[in-house]
Amino acid sequence: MAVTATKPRGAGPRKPGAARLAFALLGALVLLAAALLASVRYGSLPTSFGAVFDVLRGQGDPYITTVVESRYPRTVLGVLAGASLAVAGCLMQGVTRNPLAEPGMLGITAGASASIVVATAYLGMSGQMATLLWALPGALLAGLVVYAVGTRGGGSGMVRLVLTGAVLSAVLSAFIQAVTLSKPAVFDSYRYWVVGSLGGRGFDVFWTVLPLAGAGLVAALLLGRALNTVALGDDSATALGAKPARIKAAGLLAATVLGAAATAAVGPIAFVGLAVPHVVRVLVGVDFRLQLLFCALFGPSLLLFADVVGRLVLRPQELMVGVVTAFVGAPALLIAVRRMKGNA
Amino acid sequence: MLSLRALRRPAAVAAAASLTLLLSACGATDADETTGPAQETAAFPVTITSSLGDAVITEEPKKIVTLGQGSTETAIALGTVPVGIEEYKWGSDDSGYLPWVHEAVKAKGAELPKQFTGGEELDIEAILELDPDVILAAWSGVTKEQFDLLSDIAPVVAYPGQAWSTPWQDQIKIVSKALGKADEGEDLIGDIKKQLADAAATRPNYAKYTFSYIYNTGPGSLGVFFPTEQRAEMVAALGLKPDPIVETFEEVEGTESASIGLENADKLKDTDVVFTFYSDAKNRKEIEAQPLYQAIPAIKNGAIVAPTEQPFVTGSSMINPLTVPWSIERFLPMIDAAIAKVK
Repeated sequence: MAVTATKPRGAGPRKPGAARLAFALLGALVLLAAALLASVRYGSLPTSFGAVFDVLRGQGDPYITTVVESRYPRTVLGVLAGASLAVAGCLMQGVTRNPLAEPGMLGITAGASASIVVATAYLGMSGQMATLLWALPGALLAGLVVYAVGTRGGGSGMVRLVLTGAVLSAVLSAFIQAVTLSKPAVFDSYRYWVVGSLGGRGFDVFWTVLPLAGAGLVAALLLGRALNTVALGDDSATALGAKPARIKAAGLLAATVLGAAATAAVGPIAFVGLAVPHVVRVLVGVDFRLQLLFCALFGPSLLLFADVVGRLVLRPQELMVGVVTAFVGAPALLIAVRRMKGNA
Repeated sequence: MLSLRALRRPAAVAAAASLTLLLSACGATDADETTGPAQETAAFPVTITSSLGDAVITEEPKKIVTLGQGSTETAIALGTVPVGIEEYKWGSDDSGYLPWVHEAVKAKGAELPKQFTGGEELDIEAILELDPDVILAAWSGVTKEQFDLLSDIAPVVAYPGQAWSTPWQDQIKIVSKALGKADEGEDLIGDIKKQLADAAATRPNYAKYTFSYIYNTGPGSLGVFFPTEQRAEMVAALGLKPDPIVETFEEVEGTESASIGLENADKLKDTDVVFTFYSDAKNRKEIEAQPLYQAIPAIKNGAIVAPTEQPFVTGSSMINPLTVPWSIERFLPMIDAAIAKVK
């Protein structure tokens, strides 16, 4: 940890040294590059680095080329979903000032799940793209309902927002349980989706969620400076000419869009949105511009490494990434938590 | 996992462990006992031991209830239409019944059995109302708890070994012994073998081709059934040779199949004909769109037997006195068409 002079609370974000920052950025990029490489190298068929490089240079054995190419969609999807989830978590933890905030808290997961369950049970929905196209509006709608109800009457009622999210999630979960218990076939397919997986998805899934996730990521990165101002406290921010309520709303909207896009594409993977922002904060401090940038770099690394582990532990079978993420990410979060104690 | 579960309920429930060796050992003992007392008159009382407990049947059962699969067909083949059977919607046709069961009962001019919900939500009250003399569950997933409850209603003939793991010959031996018709049971087994052998004799060319029976559990997955699995056993009995590569795969415990992942599709490069099934048209489209799936030569050539009719998928996945004749006549033209495309 950089030793910085302790400033009074609200006096602005602490700044780690420039050298340290450059080092962290380099580390994050190297980690991401390693994650990308691992994701195209490892699968149920063992392939060597040499063979993968041959494929990347366009000189691979035709079958190995097909195998390596089949790993591309899940890799780009891992990057997009990992960045979206981590950035969404960072936005939510910042806006709600709740260290446990993650995208699922806004009712996004429950909304997507309920939509899928209804479509499967009553409309005979099946297939990857159909699932995505049903999950997306469900997630967005739930997020917007939570936001509308939770912030009604203005003010900075973040407690109400969190409670509304919890209530909606509880109601939808009960509904999902009722439907899936009465229709075992629905339970089977829902149970599969709800774990969260990068596998078996094609580029079409990626392209479908890219506009939404891309817009959310750009919006989030642009919000960094404004969120720094809001972090000073509503009164100070207002005194500086900012509009805290509007900035918070924009942050939550971006988080909802990001969470919905990622959840619809790969299923609910809670741990990335929760853990990555904490790790990043320990590393780069509280400046939101840095936090959001590093979340967008570390999120994909965590998700991709978890996915690679999932492909290897039961080879040739696969463990879904939703199961693995917590195992892979927990040590990093624990280290971050220990550091926090000394820092806070 | 999910479509396999939906399509192949028997194997799914057996997800615990199945000790095939132990099973065949049990089966062998059973066979010795059944062939021992040859006289029909001495058939009762009979005690049938299963892994869940004993069934003591004191006189010839008139009212039969069946659970799981296979017992219904054997009972009908032995001359008694059950009064109640477990419903299996997925494999049923418009009649609401498994078509071969429906056809056989109609042909006898008998009354159709009442169907009730089975599995985890077994409708015990419906069974109670039927007032059965015996409950046959030789190939089923009946639990110990259900077994105890049902035993208060009538003797329950459950499975030796694990749930959903009884080989077809043993199913027939167990059911025929419970109905006091052990000898006729042996005849049924002989008949089935003969029907399959006769069909194979009409297609001597089948012996020249290897096959793999594969399944998917969604995009990216690839599973292969072992030749001991009933659906693969049926294909092998018709004369095709199981691709020996399957022996190198590791079994997913209790499923008689291996999950190898689609990246290993080239392991099937020497397979001439692929047998498979899809959960629905969308599943088929998604699976066939994968370049790796198309990298399997048999798939690329179109040398593939992939029935979409759910009753046929069900019927051709089970070997019993009613499914075999029903399936063979439908199966052969499909296999002929696939073999014509082998390159």
